[in-house]
Amino acid sequence: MKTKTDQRTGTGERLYRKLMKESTAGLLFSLPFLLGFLFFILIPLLLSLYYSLCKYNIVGKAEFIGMKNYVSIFSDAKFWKSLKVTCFYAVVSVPLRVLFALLVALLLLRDTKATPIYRAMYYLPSLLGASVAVAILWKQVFAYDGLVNAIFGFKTAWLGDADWAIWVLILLSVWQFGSSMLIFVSNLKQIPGTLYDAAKVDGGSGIQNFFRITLPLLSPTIFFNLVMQSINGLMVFAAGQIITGGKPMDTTLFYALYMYNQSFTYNNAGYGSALGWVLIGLVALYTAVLFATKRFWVYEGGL
Amino acid sequence: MRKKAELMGLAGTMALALALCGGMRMEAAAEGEEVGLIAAWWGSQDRNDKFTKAFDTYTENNPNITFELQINTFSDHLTALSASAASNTMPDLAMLQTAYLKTYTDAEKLLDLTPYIESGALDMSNVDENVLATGKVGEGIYGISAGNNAASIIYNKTLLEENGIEVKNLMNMEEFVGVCQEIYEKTGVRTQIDNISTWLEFISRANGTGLFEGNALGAGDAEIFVPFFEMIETGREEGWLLDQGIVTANGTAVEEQAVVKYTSAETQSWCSGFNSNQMVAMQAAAPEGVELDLITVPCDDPSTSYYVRQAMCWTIAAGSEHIDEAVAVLNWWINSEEANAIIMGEPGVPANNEIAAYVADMLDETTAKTFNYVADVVIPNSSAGDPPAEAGASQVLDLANEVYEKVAYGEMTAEEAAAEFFEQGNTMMANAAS
Repeated sequence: MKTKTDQRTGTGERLYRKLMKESTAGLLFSLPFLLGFLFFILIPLLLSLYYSLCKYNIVGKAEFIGMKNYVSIFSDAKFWKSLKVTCFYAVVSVPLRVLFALLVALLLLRDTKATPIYRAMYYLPSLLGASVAVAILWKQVFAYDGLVNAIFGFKTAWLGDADWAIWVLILLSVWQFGSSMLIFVSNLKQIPGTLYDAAKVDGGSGIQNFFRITLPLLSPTIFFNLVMQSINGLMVFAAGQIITGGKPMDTTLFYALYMYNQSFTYNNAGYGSALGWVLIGLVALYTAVLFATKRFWVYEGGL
Repeated sequence: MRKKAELMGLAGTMALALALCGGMRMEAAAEGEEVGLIAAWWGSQDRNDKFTKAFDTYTENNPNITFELQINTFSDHLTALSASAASNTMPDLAMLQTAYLKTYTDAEKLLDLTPYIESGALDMSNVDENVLATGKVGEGIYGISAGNNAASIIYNKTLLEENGIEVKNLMNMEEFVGVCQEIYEKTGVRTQIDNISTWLEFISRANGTGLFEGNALGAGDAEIFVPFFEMIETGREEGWLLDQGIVTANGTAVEEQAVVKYTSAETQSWCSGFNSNQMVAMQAAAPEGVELDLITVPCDDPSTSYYVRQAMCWTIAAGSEHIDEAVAVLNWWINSEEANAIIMGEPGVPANNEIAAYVADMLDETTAKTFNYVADVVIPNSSAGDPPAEAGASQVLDLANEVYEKVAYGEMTAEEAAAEFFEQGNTMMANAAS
């Protein structure tokens, strides 16, 4: 190896040395991410910030109008409506989802031969995501003559009912608890068995074990899941777009869906961008509040 | 050894990157002979099958021309189109609603077809002047009608015949309500009312204005819309209006409407409001033994209100790299018997009169009904359509559905709905213009 390199001279040698540097390799291997981040996140982000200050219909040229879009947002009834709908959705569905994920994770902790199969099965709905297939499935299950009504004998078109439609979407979200569940399972497995053995010697019951050992040691994971799922919850789009289209009477008009309608259906991409930046602000605020509560309930002392 | 492995990894990555760049260049180099065109439209499965087959046939005749087809639902089509316009990658051929022409011509994204019509590359000699005019914006012609059709009420003929109930064309709203009541009493089947903006448009036109006039609604006050919303209130109270929950849950796809998709009288509608050409797709989705037919949308003054819609038109992108090839395809599409024997008037009666006559002889029963409806019922009872609406119109069309929904759910009175549509509609148009 060495002799071969020594034979190189001039430019070839320099290029070779450059290429062999650790930093070159690092940059090269992170290039796909860097390019993706630059072109699909950073540049669009900055562009949308500019467009939010413009009257812009995507097809034509953007015309600078200053803060006008932001000013009109706050007198826009649909903005408040969609914000309310989205917050309700997030506040109800996220804790339910995390709770559900935790319960199933605890059940799946037992090592039997069938456990991997169950784990895969419970993860399956998350893989499907908010796809068109799931939308159609959900639509049919909750139709007037669908499965739910056939089993329970109700007579309601759930997705056409202003009081119930949002709950159908919340149920869909709770059903897709798989990714949180996997994180819980892996963290539960890391809690040392010695702690439980010690508790056993001291005469601790199963419930005491859960609240005194499992839950505190799991609190960082719960926190992580809560933050991630909340952010996803506030940015929910596909379920509203595909299953209900925001109907009935805007009771499932999610914020991101309204943003999409303004941008693409009504060709007000400038206003849509402004809505986007308001959402970013709100999500940041929400996350900051969540982080501020962290020291009251998240155990970070290690084992 | 570790270094060698690293080096090989690097070399591999670079080779891959080079290969990717090279691939792109090769594609560009080959464009002399092989021409790839992008064609985009929205529509039902029926349309997609026919259009796809027509484009395939063109490729069979001209093996050097291939097509990439971008098929979407209506709203997704518009989304994709505006995104492609922003990035200057518009499809070479795109179907567009005439209502949206102006957005694209304002941004200079569409090709003015006038020179090609004058040179004869695009032969419009058998297309009526007034049909050609619907694709006109300012001095240029930017769209060629994909087919002529008209608003209609598509209904379950079998159901009505079995129960001895008669419906006719050119009914007014009172007569229509009478029919709805009779059907409900005799069969328990209800009425779905949709295509709300068309009802409101016909009311406006009967009143002497378009739905839109410049940057405002055409209507001078909210009062003229009240009777329509009162009809909905009545239907709700008397029970003949199909439960709005069921309508909303069904969605908007042609194949999912309660006139063809139902399991009991409670979930069934005897009719649905769609453009005449869409009856073909709807008939295809209907249960076996159910025959559909179509009548006009009820209104008080048919000949002032009705008009022939050249709602869909074909456009060519101004930025297309293969304009001549795209024009040739469009010419074939509009003027050849071969193409139209496949399309079979799916988007409506062909713009080319000779082709329309040629196709009329070969139509299946359902499509023939839609052709006759346009020719024998609507054209004798119609007047000229309104010019393309200004920006803001799409939001107002959504608003029409929203206020209707609130009345149908019983959340709003007819008076309130008319007032909200009038006030908000005018605000939206004014905001879009400012």
